[in-house]
Amino acid sequence: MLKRIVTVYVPWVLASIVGVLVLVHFFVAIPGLDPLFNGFIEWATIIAGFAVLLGLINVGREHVGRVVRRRPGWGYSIVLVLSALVVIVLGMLPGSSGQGDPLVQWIFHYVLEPLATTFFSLLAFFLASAFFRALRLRNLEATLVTVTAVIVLVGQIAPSWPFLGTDIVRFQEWLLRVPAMAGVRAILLGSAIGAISTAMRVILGLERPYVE
Amino acid sequence: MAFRFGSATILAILLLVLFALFFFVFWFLWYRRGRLAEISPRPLLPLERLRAYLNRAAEMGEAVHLSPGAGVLHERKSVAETLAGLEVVAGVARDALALGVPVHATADDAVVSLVNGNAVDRAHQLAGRPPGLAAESTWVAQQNPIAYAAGVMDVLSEPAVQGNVLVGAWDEELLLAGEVGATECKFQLAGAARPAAAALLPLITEDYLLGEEIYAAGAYLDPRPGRVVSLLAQDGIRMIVLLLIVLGVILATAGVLDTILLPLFQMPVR
Repeated sequence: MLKRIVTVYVPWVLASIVGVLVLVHFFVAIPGLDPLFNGFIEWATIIAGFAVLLGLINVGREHVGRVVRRRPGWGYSIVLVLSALVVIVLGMLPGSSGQGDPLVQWIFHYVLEPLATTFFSLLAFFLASAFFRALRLRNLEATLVTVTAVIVLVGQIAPSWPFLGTDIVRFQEWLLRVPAMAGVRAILLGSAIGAISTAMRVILGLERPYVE
Repeated sequence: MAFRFGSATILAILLLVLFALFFFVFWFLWYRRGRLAEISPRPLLPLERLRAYLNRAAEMGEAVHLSPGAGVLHERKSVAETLAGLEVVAGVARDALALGVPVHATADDAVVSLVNGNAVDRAHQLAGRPPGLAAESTWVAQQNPIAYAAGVMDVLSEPAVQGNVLVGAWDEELLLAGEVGATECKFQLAGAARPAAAALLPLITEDYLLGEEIYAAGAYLDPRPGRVVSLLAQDGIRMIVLLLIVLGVILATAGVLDTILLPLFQMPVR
């Protein structure tokens, strides 16, 4: 019983009280309570930091284990572990300023960011492939998305290609301003109601992801 | 003491109070009638097709990949979607493992990964398997959505993985993971609430959950009273908001909105 109180009821009560307080603070400015709420945010940051550490240990254990057991892809695991070690060592060297250190920043700017950008640029090709497959399958929704995307694309380049005329630009602007905006707002409104519903369950303790 | 969002705060608080009211009314009805769940939920066909696929996967010896998206639990912008995604992961993992379908659960963030791992661990225990198996199939990319999508693509290229569930906090990176899922997997369920990802859903699968449907999915996969009641409240509030929008359009057309109702929605300039 004591174990249940400590592992279920205490986190539930704490989460509910903090949830209600943060909700009230979000809407109402109460003088004198700001330090308390700033403290909550700092606690959350510290706890998230520990979770990152735990995640790093988990990743290290998984990949070292993969190398030791020579499982498929173990070569990539060596690269991952070495990369992580290099960044950690550079950030913890005597005199280093941690993640703001010039050497660590160099790795982020000249290795990580170009890799991420390169990968992100593949989206255009993936999109083309998805459009092609959608047209082949004759799916109505996918066809609508594809046709709309083509109109918007042509509308964007039309000012540079005078022979396309100005009607397509106006039509593209109307598409974005009226039907697309209406759709986006509908999705956002529905999602907001869903998010309130989820938050309400967590605040009332009906959903307890922190103890499950 | 002052309202942070001017008179709009009153409307927001009213909406929350109304939501709580709906919640408690349905909760009361649930316990009075017991069978309230049967009268409400609208059908979500993608989830029914997912169940049918899991049965086939069990017969064919296929595995399924589960992801709650590339969101985090400690930032306001993605916490609700990530929680909804985690509910889907927990529900599908439980159904899949009960049928003997292996599960590969992945996450982009360390905290989400822990909750994700717990959900799969619990599903293993419910299926009568020893705990700890989940750790083998759970990993983390640490808040880099593009790197995470690349990792998911790698998981989906494994021949045994023929089912893919991507429901939660996604942006454009959904296309990277979803496109590989569309070509490599026999079944794919995707769901997103952000407009950037929502537009991509029909391109990667016919089975998708759009917008608020991702918040409803948890109640279908695991119909606990709390979830069903909140789904009913969600549907009720949705209808009220719909009616208010129609009323707003009529009042705006009549020219009444600007003079009477607009001040209610005004927020202080910052």
